[in-house]
Amino acid sequence: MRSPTQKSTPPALPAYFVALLTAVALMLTAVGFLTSCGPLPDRETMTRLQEAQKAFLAADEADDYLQVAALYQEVLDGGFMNGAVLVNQGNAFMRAGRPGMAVAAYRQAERLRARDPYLKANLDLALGPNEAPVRKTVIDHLFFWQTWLGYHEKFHAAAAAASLTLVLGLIGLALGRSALRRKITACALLVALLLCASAALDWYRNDVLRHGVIIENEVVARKGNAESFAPAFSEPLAEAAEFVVEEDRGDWLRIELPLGQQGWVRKENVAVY
Amino acid sequence: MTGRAAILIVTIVVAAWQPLWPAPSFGADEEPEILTELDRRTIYQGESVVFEVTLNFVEDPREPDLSAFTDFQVTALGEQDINSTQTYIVNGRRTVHRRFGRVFRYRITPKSSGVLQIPSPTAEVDGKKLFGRALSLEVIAPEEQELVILSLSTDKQQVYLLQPFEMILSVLVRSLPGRFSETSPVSVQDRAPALTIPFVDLPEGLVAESNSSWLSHLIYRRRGLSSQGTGFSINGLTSDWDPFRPARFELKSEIVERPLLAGGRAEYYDFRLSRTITPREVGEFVFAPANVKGLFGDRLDPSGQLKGREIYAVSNAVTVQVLDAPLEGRPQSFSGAVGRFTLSADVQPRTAKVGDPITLTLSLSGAGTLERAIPPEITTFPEVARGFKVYEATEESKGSSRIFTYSLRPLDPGITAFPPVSMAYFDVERERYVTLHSESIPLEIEATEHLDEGDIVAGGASDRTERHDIEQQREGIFADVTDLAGLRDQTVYAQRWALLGAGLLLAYGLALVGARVLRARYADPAAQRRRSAASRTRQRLREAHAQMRGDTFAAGLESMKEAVRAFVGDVCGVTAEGMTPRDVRENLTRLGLETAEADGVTRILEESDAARYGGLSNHRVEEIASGALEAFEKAVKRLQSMGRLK
Repeated sequence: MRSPTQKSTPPALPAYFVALLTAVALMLTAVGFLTSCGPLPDRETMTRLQEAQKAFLAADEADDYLQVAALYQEVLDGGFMNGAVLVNQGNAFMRAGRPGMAVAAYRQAERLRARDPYLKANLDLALGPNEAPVRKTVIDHLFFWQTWLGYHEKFHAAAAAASLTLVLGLIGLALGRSALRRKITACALLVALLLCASAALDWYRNDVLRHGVIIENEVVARKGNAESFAPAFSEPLAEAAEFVVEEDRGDWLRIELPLGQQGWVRKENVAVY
Repeated sequence: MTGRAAILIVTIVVAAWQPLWPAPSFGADEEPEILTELDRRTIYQGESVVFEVTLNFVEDPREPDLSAFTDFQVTALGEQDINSTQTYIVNGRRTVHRRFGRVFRYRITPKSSGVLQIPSPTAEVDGKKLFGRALSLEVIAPEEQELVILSLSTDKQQVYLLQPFEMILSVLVRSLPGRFSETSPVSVQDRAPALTIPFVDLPEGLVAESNSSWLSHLIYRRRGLSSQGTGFSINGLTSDWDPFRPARFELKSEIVERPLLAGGRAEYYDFRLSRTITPREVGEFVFAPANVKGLFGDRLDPSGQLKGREIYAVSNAVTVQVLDAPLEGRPQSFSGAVGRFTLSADVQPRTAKVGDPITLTLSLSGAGTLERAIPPEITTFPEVARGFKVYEATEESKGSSRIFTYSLRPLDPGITAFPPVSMAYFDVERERYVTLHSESIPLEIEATEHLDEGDIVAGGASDRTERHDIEQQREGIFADVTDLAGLRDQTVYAQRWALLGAGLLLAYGLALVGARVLRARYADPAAQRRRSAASRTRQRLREAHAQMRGDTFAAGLESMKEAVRAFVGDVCGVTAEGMTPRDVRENLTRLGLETAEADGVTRILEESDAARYGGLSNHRVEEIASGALEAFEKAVKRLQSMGRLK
């Protein structure tokens, strides 16, 4: 008579091996976080920010506010990207009466300050009647947190979840498998995968797609990349109308409006980000 | 339509809604012109006529100039676009009358009697001045009589904007003669005498309570089966329950005496109607004469029956001058509000940092006109200008309040209060300016310190209040970050994050491979024996050495032999029991040890046997034990170098 089959418990790994793996995992995560978090502003950037701030306080006329926006642009061009700086720049544009430019700044700030109600209020004001209808896709419903987490926050969350999954996996390797540990690790893996997909989606939308906004009033979109082409739409595009860039050809961009209409506009009439 | 020159008139009126018509194109004979029409050519003094001015064949017509109508009071009744064609066929001849343009309607009331010329209206069309046809209007002056006497008056001929004034109409009707003297003189007519009162339909710029609430309680309601009524009709107004006949209004009356032209005195019923009116525009308002038309009893016939006569009587006109708040004594802080008001102020939040946005709300509340109220220039107050950056105010009306909202930013950490601000209004009752002062509002303004991003941009709002703040800030808030020191570069380096992910995956993969290798190794008992053989043997040799030094010399030698046999058995994977020195040498040689190295280990066994049966000095025992350890370590080192102990 055969004895019933028993699952053999894998032998425990040496403690030094488990400790080594955990240390490597934590080190990798820490290095990743540290290298992916931006630095504090340097002295020159700080000086520019302070100048912009003072200029904003002293500004009265539209031109003054445009100067302020230009100062903030210098900071951004210097490689210091921050949502608060973009909010300030948008505010300066709004005060200068340039809602189109303000929308461009607020939209970029929105990526980094997803839960800022003041920013949303300002953006709504800048968009005015141009606010495009929100069309939610299946992906938007699946990644329901997409508008709640900032761009960088999604990467942080994905990395944290991946690190946690790795640690749980290592614990499983070291201590052997158990049903509970396996379920927990599987859940962590699922969360990590979703967050990674969410971050990748943001990356596609923010870094691969080129967005833009009309910065002049009454811009006529044409059916081709020259003034000789007929207008593409029955009405000119209003300032602050948003679009996605489909093609870049010389001085012209082929754009797609939120409802899918396409046309060509001159680059000088738009801000692309 | 009979006779030799029978005329067949077929009138086809083709009039359609203007947008259905094609764009107008005028023929050569369709020159721009001004047409004038009156609805009546004969009226009594005090009555009005409707005057129509048509700008025909004029594109984009403008209102005609009636500035020459100085002898008439003119009230605009509105305008209407027209586009119609009328075709007349008379004895086979076809005539087409076409009209295209705009009709302007006016109610004009003559200021005098007689046959009056209505002046020609003028209009500028394409740089040319057009003139309309002048018309004549016969205005019959009321006859001299003392039966019905009207007078119009006001309590104030000059008022300030929004200062109410009262218009009063008095209708004196002589008491009925004889046995009817106790009867109201306006209760004996089958048809009510018709009053036309100028302050019933008020011109633009004057307001009062609605006609229904002002007059409805005066409407006569039929009592019992009596078909008789009492009172006047007023401006043709009807009641809700009988919208087809003018209602009768029972005006309050008292009996007065007045002298007659022929001498003596007579008793009159004095019917009075008044209305309180509030001017909302500056200017001169002329109230045309009121008039009354109807049958009034004045005598008894021989049989004692009451007889009367038709009377048309008019009153005087009244002019009221409405003045703006006077320039004299007008304070700099005058807001434009006229009436009587109170001022309140509030600042939110009251705790802030230098540069933070705060909101000042000034509320001007009370009775009067607030539409013209403008936000005060609070930067003219030195304390405000010194301590705050002030942005343009917004204004809105809520009920009887006008609210001005300012965005401020404190500039100085030493500020402890928002100073009082003042606002002046014109008090129409006291006819002077009144300056209101708001209360000082305590504030806590701190110096700007290091803030994290959340503090800076959210303005300190907590999650609980976030939604509420959104409600408040629907119009946007341009609050800037005031201290950027705590901010980090938020550039997202996607490639670095991808590398991190790949690193984590690689680390896990390596760990997985390592764990499998280790597990495979730890799962083999022969390998485990090999790995632990050296340390175990070393330990046993030391224990044997210790035994040999003590009283158990023989046991120590035996232990040494067993330890060496066990080592060879573990390393070679064979049974240690019964292993001879020759077996040991062969096994070690098979593992790859040199003959000398294998002999070193074998000698341990041989010397142990020799010592056990031959007897040895202590010194020799020590030599054997040391030699055994040395030979063992050499063999272990050699086996390790060959990887035979893994």
